[in-house]
Amino acid sequence: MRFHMQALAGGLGALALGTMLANAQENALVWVDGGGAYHDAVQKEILDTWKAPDGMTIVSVAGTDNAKLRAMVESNRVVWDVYNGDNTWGTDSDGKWLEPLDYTVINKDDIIPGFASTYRVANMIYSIQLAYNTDQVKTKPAGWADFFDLEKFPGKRAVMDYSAGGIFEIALLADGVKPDELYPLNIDRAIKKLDTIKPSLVYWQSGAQSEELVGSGEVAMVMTYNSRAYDAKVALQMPVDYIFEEQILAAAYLTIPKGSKHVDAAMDLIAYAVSADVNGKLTANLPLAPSNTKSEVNPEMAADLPSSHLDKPYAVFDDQWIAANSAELEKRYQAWKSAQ
Amino acid sequence: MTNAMTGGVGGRFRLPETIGVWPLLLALALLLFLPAASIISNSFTEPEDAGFSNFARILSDPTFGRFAYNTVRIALIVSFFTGLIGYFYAYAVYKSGPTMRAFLLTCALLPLWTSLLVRSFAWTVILRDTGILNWLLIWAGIVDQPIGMLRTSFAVTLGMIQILLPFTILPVYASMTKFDPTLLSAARSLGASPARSFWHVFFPATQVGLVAGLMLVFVLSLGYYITPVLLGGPRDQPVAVLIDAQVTTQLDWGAAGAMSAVVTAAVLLMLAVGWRSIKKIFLV
Repeated sequence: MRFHMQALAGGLGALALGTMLANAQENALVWVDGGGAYHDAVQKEILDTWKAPDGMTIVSVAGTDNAKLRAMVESNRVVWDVYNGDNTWGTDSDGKWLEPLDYTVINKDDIIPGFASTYRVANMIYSIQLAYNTDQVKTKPAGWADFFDLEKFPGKRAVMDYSAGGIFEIALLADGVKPDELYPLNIDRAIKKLDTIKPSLVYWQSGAQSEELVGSGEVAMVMTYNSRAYDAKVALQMPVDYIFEEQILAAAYLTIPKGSKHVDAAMDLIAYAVSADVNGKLTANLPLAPSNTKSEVNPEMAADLPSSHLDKPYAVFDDQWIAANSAELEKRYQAWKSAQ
Repeated sequence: MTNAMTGGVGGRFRLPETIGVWPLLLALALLLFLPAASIISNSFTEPEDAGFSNFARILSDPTFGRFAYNTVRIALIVSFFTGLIGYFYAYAVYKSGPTMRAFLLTCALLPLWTSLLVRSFAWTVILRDTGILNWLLIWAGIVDQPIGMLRTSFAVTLGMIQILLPFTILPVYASMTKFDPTLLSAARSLGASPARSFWHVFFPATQVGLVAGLMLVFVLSLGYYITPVLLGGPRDQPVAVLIDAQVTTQLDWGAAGAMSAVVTAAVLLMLAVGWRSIKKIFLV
């Protein structure tokens, strides 16, 4: 998700590439997501089954990049039409780079309340959860308090290297803050708690890295996406298990970059992707819950879906609060992380 | 000088001698200077009435200072060691016979043909707690517990030295091949010991290459991103990490532009300083 080695060059490269793409495929609708197994599932379950308007082809690109999108919009060379961003993307504060969604085309009645707004509609629910190496951790952890308990559970911990990715949230949950009282985040308190395990922390920059860290046993526990924990355990057969207690729910969102040349078709594709019949199909192979309450899920995947564990304590990212405070979060995070 | 008159005899038009450089300059202007200028100009135009406020903001932020210090500290250490190792490696190449020389030069160049990301990641596999090096150390009975090497200043320095070494070896070797060996014989025949003739004749004559190599390594180190991220600890992270976060997650291109401008200014300053010393060495 984050790992932009040539972010600066990338934005400009996108312009050049964008021009070429636009000329080569005038009538192609471009879908962008984060890549990986999810990318393939989207292709198979959604893009291949959607009936595109006559003469229109559909191109799927792996690699969301908010900076690239912004560069496209500002230079008026938008070649992305449907952009599948994470929970921090697409709130009203990003409105200057997005087309408003047309809810006469997209049916939001069946979408979980709060997951469809002016510029974005959720297409799947994931969560940030605690996963652990089963060779090193013999008793199942009960929640984030155990993540911070180095005596009971020795070994290193890996956390997402991103100020708005949940690192402050898990510290507060471990410190006893009630899940529904997380926001506004008490950053001082979170930092105080993080300091107690700082020497044991390892920071990961990509989801694949989080799997590798916990799977190889380099760390005993990791905070990661539930789909990554599942991938490590089930697909890669690593000695990894995970818990849903105190998971933090998030959603991936569909948005349309401002200036897209296929707004109508994009709207239609989004409506299709979040419709009851289609939205649950990602659960065929992935533990990503539908955002449509009427969608059916793969019964074999049910136990691994974040939405199946709402009887246990859980929190939800407050994307609006995070968007409004992201500069402060980032500043405090970098200052804390780099401090002696 | 009369030779200025002899050039234009053949035809009415005469292409300037520098014309071969023009396409390169054009490419540089389009692909490097223009984008760089546009990125840096963000620091003044974002928000619209920014003025110097972005600079004031980042320069007064102790976190930026800390990341800048990390960047310079690592660049200095890496430059020192690549200079030291690179000079003696180049000397070994210079002293070798043709076969050995080809082998040593290939060894030095080989890493350049592998992607930076792959090389950095390879070091993580070697250095991590469950990695090859710790496995060897434990197997040999030197240590009982794995030594935490990955995500330390040691790891990032080691990785960057290995990756940047060719940039000192090659200029130093180039300057050695230009050295006139009869000067050494002259020094010896005038009574200088081998060590004395090396330090007083050979080394000063090849210093040009060393300075050029050091400048290259230092300047390249200032812009390193992926190696410190993969190999370094939280206290080894360079300014590039802050810039990346501002560009990609914060979308605050004003702050990112200002940070880029500061780093660019530092690089240009270093080049200016280095340029003068290189010229001085050439003139001596």
